[in-house]
Amino acid sequence: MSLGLPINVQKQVDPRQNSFVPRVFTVTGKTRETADTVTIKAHSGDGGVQLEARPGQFNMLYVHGIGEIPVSLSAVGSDGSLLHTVRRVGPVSKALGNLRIGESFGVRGPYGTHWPLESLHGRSVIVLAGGLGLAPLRPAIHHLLKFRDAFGEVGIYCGARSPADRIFASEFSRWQREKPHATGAKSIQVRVTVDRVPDQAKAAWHGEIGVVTSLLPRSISDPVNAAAMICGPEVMMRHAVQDLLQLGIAKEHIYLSLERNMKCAVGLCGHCQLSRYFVCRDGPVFSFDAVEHLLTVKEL
Amino acid sequence: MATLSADIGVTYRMRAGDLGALFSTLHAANFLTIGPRLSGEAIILEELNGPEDLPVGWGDEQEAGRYRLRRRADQAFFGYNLGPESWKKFLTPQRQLLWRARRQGATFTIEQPERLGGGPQQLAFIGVRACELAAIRVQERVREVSGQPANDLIDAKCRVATPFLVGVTCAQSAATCFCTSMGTGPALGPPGSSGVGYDLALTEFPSEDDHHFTIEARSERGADIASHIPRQLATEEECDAVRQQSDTTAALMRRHLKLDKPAQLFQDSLEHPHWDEVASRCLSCANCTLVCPTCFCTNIEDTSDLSGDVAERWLRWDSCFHLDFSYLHGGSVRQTTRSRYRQWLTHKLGTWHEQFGSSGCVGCGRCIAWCPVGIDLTVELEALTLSPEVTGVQTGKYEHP
Repeated sequence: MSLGLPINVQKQVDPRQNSFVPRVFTVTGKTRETADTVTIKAHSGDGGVQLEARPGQFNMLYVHGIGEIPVSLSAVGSDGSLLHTVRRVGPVSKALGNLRIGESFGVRGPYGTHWPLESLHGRSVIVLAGGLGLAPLRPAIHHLLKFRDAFGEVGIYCGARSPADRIFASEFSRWQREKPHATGAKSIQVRVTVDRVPDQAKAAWHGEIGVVTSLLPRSISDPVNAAAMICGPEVMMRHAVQDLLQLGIAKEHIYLSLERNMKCAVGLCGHCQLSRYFVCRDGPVFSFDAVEHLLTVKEL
Repeated sequence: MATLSADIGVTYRMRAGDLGALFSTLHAANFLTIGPRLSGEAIILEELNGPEDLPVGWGDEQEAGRYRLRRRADQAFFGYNLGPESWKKFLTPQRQLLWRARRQGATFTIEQPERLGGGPQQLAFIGVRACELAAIRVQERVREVSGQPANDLIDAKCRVATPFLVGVTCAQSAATCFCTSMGTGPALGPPGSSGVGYDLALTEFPSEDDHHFTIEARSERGADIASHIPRQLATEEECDAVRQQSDTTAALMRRHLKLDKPAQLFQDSLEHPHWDEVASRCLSCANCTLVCPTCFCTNIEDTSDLSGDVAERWLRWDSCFHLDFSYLHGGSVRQTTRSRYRQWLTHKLGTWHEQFGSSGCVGCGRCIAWCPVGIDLTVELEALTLSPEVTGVQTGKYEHP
């Protein structure tokens, strides 16, 4: 006796009808960020509607026959293109990195919560990124640049393992150059620090050396009126939060993007649970006061 | 065959010998009948052709880490307690094909299995216990909260929304049962009172000279099916006997789960030394999550054929007890058995309330019986809700029963 489903695959699927089915996107551009990190630009190949993504959200990216992983959007192009920045560490991220222009991959999303940029209007903003954590923050930075007048002081602080591990470094000067339209507002402060500088690169490196939080004391002048957005390794974020609290930034104005194993991205598979939260649905962006009690417990 | 209409909520008496009419009526209405049958040394859920496939005259004996079939003195059809399988075997199958993708040059196209559209594959579940009606509702709630349209799971439409449910009153409890603590049984309440809506309620009275059932329709279609079964109005005494049966079962229940403030469990117990004590016994084998009727975690498996041209995506059961479950680049979040057992128990009994508005436990006791080392969540919870000093864990005085 068989209670199994008849598996007569015939019908073409409309992905918008089913959240487990990806849409097919085609690679239209690739940018090598570092030795192991690449930004993939892609356009939808199905002629469907553009994805409406907010800064900080993520997509599930599928490589045919290999598998699927969650990847934050690192930018959305004005032409509807999606940009994902991927570090080649596992089978899927390696396969994504190996895709050539013209080849296709699957996209489900966008999923999750976003950086609450509209609610930060009028505030000064600290952006704190560790390593690849800058990727989900880049759309937020683009928003800060576009709506510069809506915010007070803006400081962007990035940490990387070494000068060669910085991502989006070619954009830093543009971020810094962006002049506020309103009189009196300051330029955006962009500062980078690295953990170490290899001997052969020492002559060329004039930046800071040390953990990214060491940049905070000389950041903005009005921390009480500031908000912070953080993304990086969890241990880095834990330290960063403590330093930001010491500066005087309120718990509820500190936002962080958490990472957990995600399989379905729709709050159904259970993998990403963190206490009452499904990180895929209730996160990845949380305000610190919502997760404070969860970040000090090991293996939660 | 009697065709007098049956009324919803009216209790009828049915001879045990007429149980076959229930099956034949369901078959005539295009239902596939599924229920308990003997297989190997357990009672599992499979397709049934008729009453003869039921575990007639069989019962069982259960304890922590123990399940044994036992011959009964009578010829009861439903004289057993819960076996290892729950109805989630059919409602959220262990493996489901979500879609298939074919490479076409540099791109690929995705196809989906045809959905089943009713017909002969409509399912009727025979012998659903009260706690299982509650469990089916809990899993339904999980899907509702996730906001997934029903058609996201291939066969959700036919298998979740419409199985015909025949409930059966528990005439006895296993030593592992504690549904009274969870408010899910043993009586089959009015539809929707503590579980999912259902269609027919049966109560069995297996005496040698007068083996009979009471049968009550709990839905329109339940009444339609019942109207084809030979029956007569039950007497007042026979109606009382239904109540007495579940009252007796409730009174004899030996295990209890006490948790006054489930919302506090997670926060209050996180660093409790008892987690280490449980972890010293737990094998992290995942049996408890597989037999649990509400555990819903799944994994997505992407596979391909040898040519690499045809790839498939499968949804299959997963367990929070697996090391890989919380895998992230750099290592799993929950490395230790301590953290994985803590995740399971605090989710099941605590944070489930915040996520889905109820406990994730219905008191069926399967996780107790099918734990290979006999870990009993009612006992563990008691130790966890006492202070460390009282349990004596730190001083080594605590002894597991």
